[in-house]
Amino acid sequence: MARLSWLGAFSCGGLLWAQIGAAARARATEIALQEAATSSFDWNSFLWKIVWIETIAIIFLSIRLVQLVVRYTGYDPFADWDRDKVNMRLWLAVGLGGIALALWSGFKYASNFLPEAASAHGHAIDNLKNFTLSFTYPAFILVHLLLFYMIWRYYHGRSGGAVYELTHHGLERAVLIAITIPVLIIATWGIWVWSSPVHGQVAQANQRTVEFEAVAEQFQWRVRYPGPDGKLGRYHYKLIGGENVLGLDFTDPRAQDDILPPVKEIHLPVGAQVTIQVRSKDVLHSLYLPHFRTHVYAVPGQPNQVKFVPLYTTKEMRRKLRDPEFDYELACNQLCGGAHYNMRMKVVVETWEEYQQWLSQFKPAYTPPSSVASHKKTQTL
Amino acid sequence: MSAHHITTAEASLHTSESHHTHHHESFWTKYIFSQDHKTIAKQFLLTGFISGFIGILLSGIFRLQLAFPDKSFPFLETILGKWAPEGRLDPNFYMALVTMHGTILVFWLLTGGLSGTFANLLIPLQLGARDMASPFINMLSFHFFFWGTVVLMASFFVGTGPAGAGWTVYPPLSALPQAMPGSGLGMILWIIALVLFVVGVLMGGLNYITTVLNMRTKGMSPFRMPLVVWALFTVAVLGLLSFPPAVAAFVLLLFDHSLGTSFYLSDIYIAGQALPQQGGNVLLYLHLFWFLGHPEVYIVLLPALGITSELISTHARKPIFGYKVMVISILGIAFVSFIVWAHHMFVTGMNPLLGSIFTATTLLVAIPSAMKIFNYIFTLWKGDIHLNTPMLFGIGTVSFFISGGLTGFFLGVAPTDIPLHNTYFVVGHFHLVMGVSAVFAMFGGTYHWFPRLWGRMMNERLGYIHFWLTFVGANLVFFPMYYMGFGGVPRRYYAFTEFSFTSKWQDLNVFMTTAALITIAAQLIFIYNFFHSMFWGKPAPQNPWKATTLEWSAPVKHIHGNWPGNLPTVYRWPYDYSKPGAPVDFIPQYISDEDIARGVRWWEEDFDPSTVIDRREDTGGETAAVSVEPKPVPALSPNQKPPAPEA
Repeated sequence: MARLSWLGAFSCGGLLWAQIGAAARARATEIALQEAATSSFDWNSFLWKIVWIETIAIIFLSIRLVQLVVRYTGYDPFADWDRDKVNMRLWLAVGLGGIALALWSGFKYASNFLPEAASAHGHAIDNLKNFTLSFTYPAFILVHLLLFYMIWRYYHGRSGGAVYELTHHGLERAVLIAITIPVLIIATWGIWVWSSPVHGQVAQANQRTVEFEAVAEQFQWRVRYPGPDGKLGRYHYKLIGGENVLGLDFTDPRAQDDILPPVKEIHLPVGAQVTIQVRSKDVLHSLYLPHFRTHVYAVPGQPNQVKFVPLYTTKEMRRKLRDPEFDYELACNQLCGGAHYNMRMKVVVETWEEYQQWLSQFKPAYTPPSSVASHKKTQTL
Repeated sequence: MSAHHITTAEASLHTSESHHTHHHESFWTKYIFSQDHKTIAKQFLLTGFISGFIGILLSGIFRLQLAFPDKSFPFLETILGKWAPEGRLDPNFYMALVTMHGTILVFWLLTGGLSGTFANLLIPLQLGARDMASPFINMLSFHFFFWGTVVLMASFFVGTGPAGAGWTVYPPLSALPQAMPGSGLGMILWIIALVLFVVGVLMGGLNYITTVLNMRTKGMSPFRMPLVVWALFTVAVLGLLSFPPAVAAFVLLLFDHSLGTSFYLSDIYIAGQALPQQGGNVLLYLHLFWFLGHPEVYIVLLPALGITSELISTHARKPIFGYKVMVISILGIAFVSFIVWAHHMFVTGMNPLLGSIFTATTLLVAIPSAMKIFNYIFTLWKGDIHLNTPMLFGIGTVSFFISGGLTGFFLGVAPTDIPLHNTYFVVGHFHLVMGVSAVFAMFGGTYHWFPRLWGRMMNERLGYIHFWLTFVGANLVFFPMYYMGFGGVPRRYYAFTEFSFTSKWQDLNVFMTTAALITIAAQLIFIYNFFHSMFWGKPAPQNPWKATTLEWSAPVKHIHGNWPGNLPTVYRWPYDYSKPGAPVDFIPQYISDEDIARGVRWWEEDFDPSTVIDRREDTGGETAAVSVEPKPVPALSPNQKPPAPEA
């Protein structure tokens, strides 16, 4: 009886609701067509609003209907559900499905990961990363499988009562050892890798060295290459102003030949040891060269320095990745304000000759004092 | 040593006893200026949940921007006005949304809301105390928290918008109003709100520590405390040690911001002007901030894991596996959390030698964390797992802790952190390991202790729907962030359209936003369930989950002083589930072996615990029992091997 009335109520309610819905849709279409004929009324978005309201109303009314039917008939369609069994099955379905999804999507999106490191120390970092991944990914899956097994095997419907077990020294010891070994390996390896590129990256015999300066400001990068003397000149932040965007101190002869290429590009010679002096004019920024696995903050008042060796030219990398559009990029990766997302600079790695040729087309930023009055300003400061 | 405390406890007892018989309270004393720890717990829970919901709504707005950077949403202009001209979010307001989302969720929901609620509710009730050591300071603690919330929310209505420099508010961006609009008045309000918040946390923490040390009932020796109390106690100590440096950092930041000092500022040329400040360094702020910031992670996580211990043990009907290892792990994590902070700073240009040292200390955290994870799983082993709503959330916490914790191996190691620092890998990592996992523990705790808070049960079926939608949704939102992190996508980007290595991820961002919006919508189920059950839920029985801890021995209807007569005396540890030889699968802590022999039937629906608790004239039960040894009763002490079950 209860079951019948439940069915009856549900089907009546369903029919009624379908009627109301159809009528509302018809009326809405009518209005919309009228409006469309007479004015520029956006009947498309109007219809969408109706659909949304209807969907929400259907959800709430259905819940209410179920509640009312349960209350007045006393029949509860879910009363026979075994809570533990249903949830146990959901855990297995969601859990195993989730692991499968993680594996599938991992392979699918691996092509979007950063490509092979384009710097010498980047390979050491990637090797460590891959080793860590080869430990954490199986651990992620195995520990989850263990968890799902416990749920499947010992849920209330199958367990037949818990066992009063306080601890098990062997197991605890096994876990302790199982976690300590990877911790020791990864820590040792990590410290070794960290110490080699940062402390010990010494230029090899006959290796060319290049040093330049990258200066961050809201919201762009500026680069300063040393002139023929190979040295960057002095600067002071109080000298910034007018044309002297980096605050160079032109009383220093080393600064007089420095070059500020007026393009949004950094050029690097392949195989040379590159040293970047990083500083900031205003707030924290960071020099992020993801393809070179190089990253350091640009701190106002604290010049930082970072070294690496680019291994592949842009052309080689394009060929490797089969992507003729590929470019190395420099990004800011420390929040610096509204346009933080837009501090891009293209990085071009090329042969030594191409690099020399590129650099030679620019004139030094300094103009001799006789021609420009701004020098006076520099002098007084 | 404890003589004074005894008198305080006795005094508060006498006043409360005279109160609950004939005292009539007004609305204000009962709900607003209440000094009752249970009411204060409710206040913390409601404030935390409401601000938390605002926090996740903010994330819905900025997720829309990330998925559809070129699309216009006219409704945004309706609700945000000038911050979304023509339905396009303003980049500065995007940053403000991100900042407020982080601040609200880390500090308001998961520190104030989580610790505040459960420490207030559970410490006195589970330890058998009449109230906190100082109910008045306890009340103040909530009021500081509340006014902090008001100030923080007020910053949404400031002309230049709320603080926008990220939840870590690194100077100089946060210190210079000319650097971004959010660093104007919004930043000052942020600092004031945080200082009020920290004062509240410290007052609460002092109370929790004092209460745990001095006001345990007779027989409640430290190793008979439930793990959640251990966690809350440890967290209070962590907070006391780590929040003051952060307040110092914030106050110095305020000086730099408004008074022209140069603690953090040096050599700055901004908006066409060279600033006079010289000699400061941002790294000082970073060190001070992360000296709080890293313990803060465990201030969030440890109570969550403590709650999970209770949920898993109670609903698997099995003692927590390796209780002492769990306690040592809590203390170990707390200790190590103070010596790892600089792993947030590997690429800031600090001395590289520090990078090696902090790599080593950071990885140490993995050991106690893994011990805890496996102990949860071993607790389920050979258990009798009741998959009700609190248990689902408890297991969910463990699952998120695994998925999030393992990726710490990449971020805690200096070299692998170089390409991953500040990318979406970090976002995915901390959202899973301390964000969602702590939120799940908080949900689980709410479902579990709701009958203790409001005397009514929450709806189980709505709970299942809420759990499954949230569990699946949260995984779908945060797991793909690891992929984006391996792709090098930086966090706090207003749009991923400007770089070729970030613009590959548009399809995944649309997917994540969809999942996020569905997950946020699923929280409506919880909100409905929460408020509906508060008024119309099924009335709760005395001990709905058949749990052993003391909070279920106090009357369902709240009274001042918690127990109408004597305080309960404790005879056993908190995890006597499924003990061989016992008539049922749980023995509450206040049941002695004599009671069992006497035939007390504590498992029956209409059993009144006060018949057992008040029976003992001799114990008095009123004294704080720091130095009092428990009665030499336990034939079934927790550390003994259980007798072999008789066939």
